[in-house]
Amino acid sequence: MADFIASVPGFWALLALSAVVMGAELAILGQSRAQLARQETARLLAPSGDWQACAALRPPSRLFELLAAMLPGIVLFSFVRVIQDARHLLATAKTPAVAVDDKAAMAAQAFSAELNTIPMASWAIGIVVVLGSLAASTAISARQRGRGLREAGRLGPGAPEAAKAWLEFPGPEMMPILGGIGSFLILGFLPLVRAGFYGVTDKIHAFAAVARLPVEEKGLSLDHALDEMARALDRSMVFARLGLVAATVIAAVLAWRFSAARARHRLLTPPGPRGTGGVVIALVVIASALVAFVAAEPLRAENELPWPAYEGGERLMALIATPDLEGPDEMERLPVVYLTPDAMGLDGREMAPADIAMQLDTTRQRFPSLKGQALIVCQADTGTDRLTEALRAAVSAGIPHATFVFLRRQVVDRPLLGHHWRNRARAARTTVVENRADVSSSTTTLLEVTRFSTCASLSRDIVAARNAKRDVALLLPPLF
Amino acid sequence: MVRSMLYVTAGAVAAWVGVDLLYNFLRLSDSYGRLFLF
Repeated sequence: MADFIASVPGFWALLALSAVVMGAELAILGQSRAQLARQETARLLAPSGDWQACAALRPPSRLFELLAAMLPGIVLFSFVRVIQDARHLLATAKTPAVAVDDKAAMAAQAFSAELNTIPMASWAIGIVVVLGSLAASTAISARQRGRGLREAGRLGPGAPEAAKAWLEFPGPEMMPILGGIGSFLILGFLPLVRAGFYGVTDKIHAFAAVARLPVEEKGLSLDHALDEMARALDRSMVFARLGLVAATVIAAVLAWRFSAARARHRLLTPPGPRGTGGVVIALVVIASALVAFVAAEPLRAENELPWPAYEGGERLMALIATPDLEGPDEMERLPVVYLTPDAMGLDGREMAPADIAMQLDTTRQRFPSLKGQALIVCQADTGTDRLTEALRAAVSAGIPHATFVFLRRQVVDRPLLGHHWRNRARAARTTVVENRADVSSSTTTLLEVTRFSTCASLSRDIVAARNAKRDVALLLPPLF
Repeated sequence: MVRSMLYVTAGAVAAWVGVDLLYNFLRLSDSYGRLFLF
């Protein structure tokens, strides 16, 4: 539980806000029920001629029903904000500005925040919405019945027959209103909330399972978990849409069947005075909904635009135009020596060959598991004289196994998440030698680095040999 | 009755848009997940 509380950003503030709103909804419910009770007392006194009790009822106000309907929105927006912040943190973790070592911790924190906040939001918003619907239905009923009874009280002394109709049918009962609202909530929203809730639970299980998987299977497993959740949500949307049609029919039937105005009309009672407040609110609700629908277009576009298929392997976020080749080997996570016609360096920091050698030597001693390997990311038009310097530095540091990396840039422009890119990395393994005699195997192709002018031309022969399933040895020119 | 039907219509439109927003908000989780995998 402590882990859960720690993972939801602003847990106590969200809990306190939800509790306050629940309290406010209960207060509105209590106030409206008390109003209904007072109205019922006045209604019972009227048949004995005491119309004054009805006429003296307090003029009804829309304030409580509006508050009851809008308060859940505050809780909703607070949770939406926290969930979106968590998602933005995930997007930030992906940016090259974040250090590689910090990415995993940041992403774990973001996933944890999102996955734990959604179930909490489902419960908190669910309870607040149920209480809000109950309070709003009761407040609407209390207002309309209060207005009807005041009309009965006004008509009573002069037109007792018309007053009796108002007394019998002063306004709608709470239950048909709650039935209408409830049918939209249960048939329209519940399938989605359920799919969202269980989708998150499944995702948490998938994450737990991913932790036990080997590195190369983690991404694919996560990709499948995302597919499952999206499919479950898409399925539930079909039910939700059908449910909304059914809910509209149910609400219309309830409104017609339990209409107090219709019942009074049957008793040939002339319609009473009616304000335009209800019509204005209904039109504002429709207009606001349409504005929200249009404003959510980028959200819909984001969800409708498919992502490129998942591809495993390491992501090397380098901006170097390597030779346009498809290496047959996988790229592993190793120290990266980069080369361009103007610069060279190690792991993103520009360095002279001597410094590269020193740094690689330290790395080799600290991480024996590297087994003398390093990556070479060489811009296509880099001269082999520069490459030779870098390779010699690696060899002098005890790292003779140079894996040439070929990057292919993939770009996406998302409607909501913006511009992102990744490098699809393929590789070709080589071993650097300083003496022709060091190569004895007949399955090895020896390539003299100085016979090629650029990284591009050398890489072409390296890849050709690797594609022919041959080992590749790169022969450096003699020092003197 | 006309007013009651107007209220039902307003409720139906609001619910339709609300469901659409809820679906798209929950579905957005997929996009962020795929961004992470990208």
